[in-house]
Amino acid sequence: MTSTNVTLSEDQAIELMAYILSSAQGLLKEPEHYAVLRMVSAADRMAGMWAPKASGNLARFLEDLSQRMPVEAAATQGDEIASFERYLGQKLGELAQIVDERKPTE
Amino acid sequence: MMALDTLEAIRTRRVAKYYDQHRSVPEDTLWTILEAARWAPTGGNMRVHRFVCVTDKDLIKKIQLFFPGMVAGLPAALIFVCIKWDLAGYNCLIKSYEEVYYDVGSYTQNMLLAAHAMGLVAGPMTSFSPEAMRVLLHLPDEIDPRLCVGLGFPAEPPAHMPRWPKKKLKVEDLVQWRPYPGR
Repeated sequence: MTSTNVTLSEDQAIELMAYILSSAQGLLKEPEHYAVLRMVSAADRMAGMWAPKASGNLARFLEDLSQRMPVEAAATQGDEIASFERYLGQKLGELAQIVDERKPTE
Repeated sequence: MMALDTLEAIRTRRVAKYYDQHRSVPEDTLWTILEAARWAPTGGNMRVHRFVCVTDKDLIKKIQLFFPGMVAGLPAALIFVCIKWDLAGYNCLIKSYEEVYYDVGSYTQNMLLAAHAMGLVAGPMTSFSPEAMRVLLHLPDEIDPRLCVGLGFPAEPPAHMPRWPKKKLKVEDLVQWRPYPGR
């Protein structure tokens, strides 16, 4: 695949690292369904950091993810888990498409 | 400001969903809330809990990094309910005296109701790294942060956020009004 360096600032990297590790620690004792929310939140944060530096399909993918993920994830608080599963499936399909269209890395 | 009737306050209190990011909570309001906490009942009247109050926005931002449970935006103030283990007796020293943990809930409920009565929103949170809090708040070893109440003025949710109806339990669903039927 083609590869462009995506550089996070040190503050952004620290934010992600702190969030992921704190989540991992907390999830050892928290309800299982929290795990989904923590992973979604981590992906959402990463998308927010990455989107301004991306371009083309990838930028659109990340911007959409950043805007819609919190809304879609809120469904897990109601009885709409199937709807959220479909949304994640749709986004993974889009990401696979982006991966598929990328040129091989030298 | 007229305080709410007690039962009305209990019925109308909700966990904070969003905080106004532009308003801080006056210090005297926080003291009123802390005073309300002080009146909570405690197991054996032991009074082994202490509160750590944080209003510095930069510090709250640092705390948020290690606080996955802070999902309603940045509160204007945080009050950590801590157990001060060195004040407790033997049972507490081995950290198996359950009342000490129950008391955290009593203190918290008093604070949530007091905040609501004063027009604030508040939410109890436990998803944080105690070790990170120990570093950021310079907590002595004997101070054990168990729960944090986020406080602030209410804010409207972002327009695009849906509201999901919750299944409501009636009081009759919660109560067994006589001994359970025998075998």
